[in-house]
Amino acid sequence: MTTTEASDYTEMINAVAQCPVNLEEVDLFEPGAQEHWGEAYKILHAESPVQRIPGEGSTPDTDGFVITKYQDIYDIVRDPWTFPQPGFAGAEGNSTAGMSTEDGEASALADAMALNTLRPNLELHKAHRIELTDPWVGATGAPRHRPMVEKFVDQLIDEWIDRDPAEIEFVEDFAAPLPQLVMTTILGWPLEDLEMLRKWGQAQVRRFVYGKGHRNIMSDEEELENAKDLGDFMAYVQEQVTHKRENPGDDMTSFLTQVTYEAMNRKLTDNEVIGVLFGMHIGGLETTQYAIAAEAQLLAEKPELFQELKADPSKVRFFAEEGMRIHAPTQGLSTRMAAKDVEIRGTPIPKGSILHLRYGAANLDDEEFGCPADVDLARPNTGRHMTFSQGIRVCPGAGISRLEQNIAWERLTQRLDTLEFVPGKNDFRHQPGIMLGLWELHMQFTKATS
Amino acid sequence: MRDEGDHSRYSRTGEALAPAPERERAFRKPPPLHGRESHIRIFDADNEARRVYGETQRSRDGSLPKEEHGPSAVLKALDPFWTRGIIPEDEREGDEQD
Repeated sequence: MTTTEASDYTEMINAVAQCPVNLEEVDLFEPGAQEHWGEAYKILHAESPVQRIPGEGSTPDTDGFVITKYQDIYDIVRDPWTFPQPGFAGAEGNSTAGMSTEDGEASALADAMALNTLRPNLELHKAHRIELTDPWVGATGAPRHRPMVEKFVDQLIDEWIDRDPAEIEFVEDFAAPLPQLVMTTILGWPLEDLEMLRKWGQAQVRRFVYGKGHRNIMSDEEELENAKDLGDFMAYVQEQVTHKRENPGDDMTSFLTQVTYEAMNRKLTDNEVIGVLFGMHIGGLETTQYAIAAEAQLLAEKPELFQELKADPSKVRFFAEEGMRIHAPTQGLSTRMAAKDVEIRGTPIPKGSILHLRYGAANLDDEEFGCPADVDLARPNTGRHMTFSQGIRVCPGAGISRLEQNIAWERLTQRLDTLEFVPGKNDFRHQPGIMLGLWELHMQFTKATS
Repeated sequence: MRDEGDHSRYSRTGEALAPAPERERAFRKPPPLHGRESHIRIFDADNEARRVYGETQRSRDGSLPKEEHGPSAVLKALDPFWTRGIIPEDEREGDEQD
C-alpha cells in the first residue's frame, strides 16, 4: 500500500506484543497482538469468556464486550432481533460509527454501502441473498464457476512451476492473485484493471487492518486519504454498471443491472447495484487470500498431510474447512449490539452494548472442537466453524471462497510432490488489525513427476 | 459470628431482618446447542423474538432461525459433506423451509 504522511503504519506493522500469560496481559487489539491470539483465546475461554471493554459501546456511556465462546456466538448470530447489527431495524438508539458486518456493510465504506437499501429488514435480507448473491457466489451458484477457477489455478501454477530454483513467495505468486482473478471475472470487469482493483480492494479493507481497537477506528486524516481511493473505486464501478446496462454479458454486474428483484418487484437502481458490488469486492479478495496462505502454512508444517491430500483428493474439502477453522481470516467483528438487556455467563450486558464476536476464538473453543489446534480431517463437525459466521447474516460469498480453496489444493497437491518452507526465510508475521493475514510465505516445491 | 440479621436496626424496629430480595426479572434463553444449555439470558418477558421470527422466518414452531448457510435441502441430501457436521442433528428437521 502507499504510505503517506497521513498514514504511516510502520509502527503498527513492526509492533511485537508479548505473549500473554495471564488475563491482565490479554489485549486482543494491542499492536502486535495478532501473533499470540491463540494463547490469548485460551486465557479468555478459561477466565473471561465475556470480556468488557469500558466505554466502547454504541454510545459513550455504554460498553463493548468481547465474546469468545462458540456456544455464545452461535446463540447470538441466530437471534438478530435481540442482537441486531448496529443501525439495523430493531436496534434502538444506536450508532453505526465504526461498525462493520460479515457481508460487507462496513461504515468505512459508508458512502458506498449506504447505497444498498435493498435489505432494511430480516426478510429482505434473506431475499437479497437468495435472489441477488447466491446465484453467483453462494453455495448454490458458485459451483458453476469451477472450470473458470480451475483455469486460473493452473495458469498461476504454470507461471512458476518450472522456476529454478523452485521457490515462490506463495502469497504474491498464488494466494493473492487467485481471488483477484476469480472475483474480477465473476463481476465481469476487465482483467487488465487488476492492479488498480487490487489497490482499491486494499482501501476497502484498510479499516480492518489499520483501524484501532475493536471498532477499527481510523483517524480523520486516514479516513480522508482512504476516501479518495474509495471514491475513485466508486466512479469505476459506476462506469462498469453503466456499460453493463447497455452491453450485458454473463457476469454478476450485468445480472444485477438487468434482474427484476422479486422481493421488491422492480429493477435495481445504479446505486443499489453499486452497493451490492462493493460488498462482493470487499468480501471476495483478502479473506480468501488469507485462508489459502494459512492452509499452505499448515501443509508445510505437516508434510504428511500434503501427501495424504495428494493420495486422496476427496479429503481436500475437509482440509480446507480445518484450515479455515484454525486460522479464520476474519478473527472478530463488532457487528452486533444488544437491543435488550441480556446476561451472558453471568455478565450483565445492558441494552446498547456492542458485542465483538471473536469468530477465531470460537473456532478454537475446546468445548466445541476437541484438540482445537490440530488438523483433524475426520472431525465430526468439520464445517461448523464460525469463519463465515452463521445464521441469517452468514457470509454470502462462502460458496465461492470454499470453491477456490478446494480447487487450489486439489490442483496444487496434484501438480506438486512437495511444498515446504524455504529454510530461514520466513518470519510468519501477520498484518495487524482484526484479520489474520500472513504478509508473505516463502516456499520451495518439487514439481510432480507424473 | 454476627451477621446482617443481628444488626440492631432490624432488631429494634421489628422489620424484616434482611432486605427483600430483588424479584428476578423474567427472561428467556436460546434453545440448547447439542444438548448444552445456553449461557445467555434475555430479559424480555413477551418473547418478542419468537413472534417476529414466526412472521419473517416461517418457523413452524416459532423457534429461532435455522442454519441458513450451505446449499438447498436437496443438495444437502445428495452430498454427505453437508450432513457430516455442517447441519447438526437437531437442525436437520425443517431444512426444507429454506
